[in-house]
Amino acid sequence: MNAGAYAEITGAEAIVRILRAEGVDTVFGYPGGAILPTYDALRDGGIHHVLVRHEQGAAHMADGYARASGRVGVAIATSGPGATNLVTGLATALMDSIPIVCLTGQVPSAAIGTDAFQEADILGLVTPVTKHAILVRRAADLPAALREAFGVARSGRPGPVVVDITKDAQTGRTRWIDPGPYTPPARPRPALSDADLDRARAAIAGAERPLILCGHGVTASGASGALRALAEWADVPVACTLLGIGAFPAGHRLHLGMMGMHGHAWVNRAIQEADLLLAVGMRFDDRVTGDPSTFAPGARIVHVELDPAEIGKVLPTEFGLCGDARTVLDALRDGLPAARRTAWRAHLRAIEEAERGQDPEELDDGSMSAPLVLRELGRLVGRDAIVATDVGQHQMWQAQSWAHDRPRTLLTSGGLGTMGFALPAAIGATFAGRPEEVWVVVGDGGFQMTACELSTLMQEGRTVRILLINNGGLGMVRQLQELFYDDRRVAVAMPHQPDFVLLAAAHGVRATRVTERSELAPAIADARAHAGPHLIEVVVPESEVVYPMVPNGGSLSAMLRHPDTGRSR
Amino acid sequence: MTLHIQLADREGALERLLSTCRRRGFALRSLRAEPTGDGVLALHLSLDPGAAPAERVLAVLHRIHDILGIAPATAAAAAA
Repeated sequence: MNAGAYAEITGAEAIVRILRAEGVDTVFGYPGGAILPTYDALRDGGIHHVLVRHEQGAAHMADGYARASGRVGVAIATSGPGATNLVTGLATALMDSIPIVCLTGQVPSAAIGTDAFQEADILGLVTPVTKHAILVRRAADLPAALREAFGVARSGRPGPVVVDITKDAQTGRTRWIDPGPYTPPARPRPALSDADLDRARAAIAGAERPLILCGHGVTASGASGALRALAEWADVPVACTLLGIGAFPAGHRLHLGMMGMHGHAWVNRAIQEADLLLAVGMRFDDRVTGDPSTFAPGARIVHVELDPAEIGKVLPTEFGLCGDARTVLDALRDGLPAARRTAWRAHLRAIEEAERGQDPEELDDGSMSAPLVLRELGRLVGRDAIVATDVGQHQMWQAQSWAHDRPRTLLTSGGLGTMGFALPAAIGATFAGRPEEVWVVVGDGGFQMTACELSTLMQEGRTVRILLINNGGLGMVRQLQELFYDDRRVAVAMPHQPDFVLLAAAHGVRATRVTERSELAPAIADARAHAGPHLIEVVVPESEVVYPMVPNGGSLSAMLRHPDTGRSR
Repeated sequence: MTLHIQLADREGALERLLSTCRRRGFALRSLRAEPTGDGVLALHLSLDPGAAPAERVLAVLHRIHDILGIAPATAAAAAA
């Protein structure tokens, strides 16, 4: 029990005390009537409040903060529309297992159910898009509810939690009692027996063509070191999911690349040829497997996963090892014979060389092509940066071409695919205390969804550099129409765009437009030299297509290749 | 399958359980809920899990923080 116990304080003051006790230094929010008592307490609470321009931005900023820092991000909104605007951010965080806590104001207890002004059934609205949600009607219940929210958000498989707080709970007085950090009761899960580990070790040791599939769970559990140790010990190449990028260093000799719908062609081919997959902290998402019945047809599967509901959900799994990735990987390595798989690695290298065709630098003809632009940005800043990407073609080109060597350096909405995510997530990441420079890679469509947060960026004096790929519309949707709807284009062109340079300038953000490749490197250097935010708009052709591509529901063995080269680019 | 579930008797808890069943394709066949007086709601739940094996149903339901315990009903108890 803390000093000051039994002093009487308001519920709002209790909220601020618990936030501080949880180590919260920054919150992202937007005030309104039903949450005003909490804002009044925040005024002298010693916590930095970032006033956003839209509550969706607050949720994404909390999410970006959490992804970059590994700590729980916090967003605050008022009742009614304030809270409903959080929903997309909550769903984004749920799908990618990101720990955030969102506090929402609610009308006074007596007004609930009366259709009061700015009343909405927040508990009902957020239930499907949260890990947990709590309605608090009494000040006395607030400390325990908030401690519970943080404990649930960060424990096990992390996720978003909402605490909906009535106005009278915030204004009511209560004796200050901090129940202390909350640890949720352990959930039952299949025991990890020595026999299970022995069988998995035997399968790995006996495999001739094994692969490790590295997912977001590796980052979440801090298992990068354990994964690297096991991969090196057993000499097993590593492929990454979109969210697993960075969890295994791209510069490592065993690193293969990204798997899945727009993954590297040589990685997908390797999966189809593998005789064993050691999948760690990933859930065999449909963007990874394509048609599950044709995925890795010759492979036995060892699945290391914290959430027992994910094991065997998509694919028959011979060895399900349920537990924290780091713990299980360490246990697996202990007793696993060291191996050298020279022939398998040489085969994979040959596949990669055949797919790449020639040195990537030689393939760069200096044209104003979005994938080439993103590759150049990655070459110039990638090793020093945290990058937040939006959703669409640029997201895939960035993931294909940057070399991420450290976890938590690529922030992207993988599961929900939320356009508008990148800018607010990057702003949140600047509060994570990381030394890297922060970049946004975004398309013209997604940028317009949350561009209002440029004001937040300037208000907070944060340095975020933005590379805006402007292809005049919705490139990924246009690509789908081109390939699968007989090129019948509907609602994808945006002929009436704002002038993005003027838009940035209107917010006080320096900006440059690049229309020739020769202008790109100088523009990037200029942006990096400037101590403040900078937007580079890169005007590219509208006609480009992301290759390779596994058609939705198709087989990894039937990737679409670049029609000119027959390869993946 | 029939389950005895101990659920925290809090606002939104039963809703989350039912929402989870709907979304995961577990068809609800019957539900009886009874407060036990100590902040717990005792549920007797019958559902058709479709193609999902019993272990996955239990694992999915155990994700719900307000679920305090789940026990599959015995055949005799389920019929009662």
